[in-house]
Amino acid sequence: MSAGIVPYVVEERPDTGFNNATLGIWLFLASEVMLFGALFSSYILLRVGAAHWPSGASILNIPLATFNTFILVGSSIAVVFAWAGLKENNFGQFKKCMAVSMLCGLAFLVLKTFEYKMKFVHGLFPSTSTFLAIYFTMTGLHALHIIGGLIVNGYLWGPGSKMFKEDPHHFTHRVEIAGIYWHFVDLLWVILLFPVLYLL
Amino acid sequence: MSANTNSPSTSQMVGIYSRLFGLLSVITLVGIAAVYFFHIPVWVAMAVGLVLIALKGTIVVDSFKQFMVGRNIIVMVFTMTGIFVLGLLLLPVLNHSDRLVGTQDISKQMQMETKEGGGHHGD
Amino acid sequence: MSDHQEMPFWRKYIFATDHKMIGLQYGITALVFLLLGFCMMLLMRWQLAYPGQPLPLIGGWFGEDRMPGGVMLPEFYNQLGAMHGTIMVFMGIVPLAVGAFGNYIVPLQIGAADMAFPKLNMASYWAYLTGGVIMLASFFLPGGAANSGWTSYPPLAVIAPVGQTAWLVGMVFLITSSLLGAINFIVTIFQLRAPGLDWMRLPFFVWAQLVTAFLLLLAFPPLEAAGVMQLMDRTFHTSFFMPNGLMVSGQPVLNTGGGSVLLWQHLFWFLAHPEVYVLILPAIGIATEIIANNIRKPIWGLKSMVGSIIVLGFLSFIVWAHHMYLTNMGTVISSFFQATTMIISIPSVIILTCLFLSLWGGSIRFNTPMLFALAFLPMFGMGGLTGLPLGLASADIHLHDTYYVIGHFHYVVAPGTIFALFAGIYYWFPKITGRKMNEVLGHLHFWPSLVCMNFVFFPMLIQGLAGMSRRLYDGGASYAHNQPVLYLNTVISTAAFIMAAVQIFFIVNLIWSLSKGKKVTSDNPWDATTLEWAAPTPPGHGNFLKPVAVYRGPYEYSVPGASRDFSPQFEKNI
Repeated sequence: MSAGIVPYVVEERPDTGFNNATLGIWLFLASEVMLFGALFSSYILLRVGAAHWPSGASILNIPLATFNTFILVGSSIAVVFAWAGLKENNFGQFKKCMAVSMLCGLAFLVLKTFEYKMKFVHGLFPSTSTFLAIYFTMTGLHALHIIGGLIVNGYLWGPGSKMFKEDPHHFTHRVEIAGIYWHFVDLLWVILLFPVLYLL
Repeated sequence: MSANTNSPSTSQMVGIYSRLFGLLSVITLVGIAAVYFFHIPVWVAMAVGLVLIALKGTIVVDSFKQFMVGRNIIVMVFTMTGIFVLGLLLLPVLNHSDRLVGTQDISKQMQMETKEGGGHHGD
Repeated sequence: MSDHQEMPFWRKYIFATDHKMIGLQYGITALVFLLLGFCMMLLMRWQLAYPGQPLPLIGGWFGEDRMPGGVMLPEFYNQLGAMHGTIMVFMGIVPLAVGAFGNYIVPLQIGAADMAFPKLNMASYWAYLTGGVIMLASFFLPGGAANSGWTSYPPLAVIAPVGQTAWLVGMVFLITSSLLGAINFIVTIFQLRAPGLDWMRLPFFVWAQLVTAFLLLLAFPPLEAAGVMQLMDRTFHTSFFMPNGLMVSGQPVLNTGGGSVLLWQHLFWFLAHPEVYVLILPAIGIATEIIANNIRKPIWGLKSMVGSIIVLGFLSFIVWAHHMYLTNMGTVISSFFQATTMIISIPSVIILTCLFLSLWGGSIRFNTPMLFALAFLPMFGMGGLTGLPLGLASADIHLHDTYYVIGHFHYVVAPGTIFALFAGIYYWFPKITGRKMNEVLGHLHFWPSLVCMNFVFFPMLIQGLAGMSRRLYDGGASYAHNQPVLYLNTVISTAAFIMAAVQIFFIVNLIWSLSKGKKVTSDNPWDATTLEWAAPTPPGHGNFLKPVAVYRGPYEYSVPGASRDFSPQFEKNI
């Protein structure tokens, strides 16, 4: 509705070098860094104060999580190629690669669900120990972020992709923004959650 | 996006991303190998883990700097964020070190006592 | 743009995306919540002045499980205490100062047609409303609303009745609303400034909103994390915050222990300290706008004020543990936070001094907005000065958790922020509605309010110095050391009731002026210099009839050689 009256939706403002959504998504990511930073800080505090803290390897399924990590990395790479397809006016490539990315994201969630279920089956609940509490909370919050990303990517792949015909630049920009968010969620897992929870 | 003439072209971007994720994957495998296959002691695992995390972070920042040519606002925002995250990371330090003389963190003591006394769900 | 005229009612007024409509939505909702929080305080003040006595006339309205026979139960007192704080801070002041004033005025003051993300703006409002409704609805849950203070410290909050879970869920919505709003404000201010509006020409109100938005963006997430963890502790019996061996009524709790109570305090105050700056900064911005307009000369030291507000924003992140001096922190850490807390008073003093010094040599117009803005200065000053002993760790040992603290922060927020917000309502009412509010009613609102505010909060400082603890259901009557200052409870409560009565002048004025107020004859009835006065009255969709450009600074009053005593930013020739 207000699309016509707000400038710099796609083109960059000269003195800031940004368009609106790019600046917006980076600010959002800064707040996400604070969110997971707070959880990470809580992890350190709880671990230092604990009499006994299990190593990730002794409780968690590392081979499964490693496989899951590479699935997520793959989904990020797929998003890059989806975006590249749009830049080169190859809508088919966008559709294919975005679908691959979403399937990878979905697979990640499925494996995560399986992982959680295996914990519950063995009587390992969030209430069992502080390690498990922070593990379930951090990975659970991360999974919620994946679900959010899948919803956005799904919209852009499906009903939202109609915009490519009328306004390819705007649509490509939207995919780029969604991609930045998706990479962040992926990097959060690869750099922080997986090494800290599973390996340390 | 391409109004900024310094920003990389599409194929350059794809190249940067691919290299980024490739490097991250390799480092991740190194970390897994260290912990899962070589069974190093905990404190070594911590040190190795922290080094690898720092390495990954540096590579990410470096890669994204190439996209963010001349975008001072974001650099400033993330510098502030980084400083505040470091502040947040002070919390464990504040909580556990530098207590008043004569007071201790009895939580650890209590945990060990209750473990010996037995009776909570296994750990 | 022509399709806007044909928008259905629910798109234009309910699911609005226009920043002005959203600003009004925030404003009306926040004023209602403020009134509710105010009424909760009045109930508490009855109990404190006349403990154990039935509340006349309306005592029977609250039911047997809250006020049997009209006499307040301690549990209900605690609910009122916790919810008064929560509602005033998160559902009243911040939405009014940032959501209402920010949303309505900022795009106008920077010459923009709307906020950068209008649909996100709408989402922010609805998240806020949802969170607010959940908070209020919690009063009707079994066990009532949250009752562990607005600070929700575990382990008490973890074992509290289900109202606390509603508090946490409500907070998640409110935090989400603030985060999305903060992103919107920052992008809007960076990206949508009119040509010629560079940083040093920005009105101070916009600077204040920008710094506030950064505080909201970066400080709220740790509380969101903590809120999630407390929800986990309550629902899934994790032990993030639950220590070992905790027994309640002789029974061990379901949580296995190993957690840290202090973790919650650190994470909570990491947000809550920047939050108090969120409460004050927009108010300082509003006061500056109104003072500049009514002294008919430039603000003295505007550059210093801008520098100070930026430094204040940064410093506000590293002072939080001054709320935790009594948690057996060591001397090194205490000293660090004491030092940063003392240092943070410097930018506040600079800002206040610049505003005071600006008055010197001004042609002061004492209209109602100016009265409130002027009163803001010494009242905020009182609040700031009374904060100094609290910031010093050794003095805080005596004053922590006493009524002194309540007196201190209410001085800042009540005759401080709320007065500035009143000033803003009186000042911008003509732009929003095309009519001025009544000056006589304005004076009748202002003078008694100012006197009453001081009679409510100054005695609290005295009570606190005598050692009266806060959050006591009986007003401190059961402690010997409180006896000499108990009489002040009646003084405070009487002043509070009078203050309540006086607000009726404001409410009547607001509603009456909507249709009967004196119509303004120009788009710029206050002869002001900032961009919002270039828009039509009220501004339509898209705000400005033709593109605006900015030619000079924000407070160019009494420029030598100019044809009038004010030179608006948006006019090329003066």
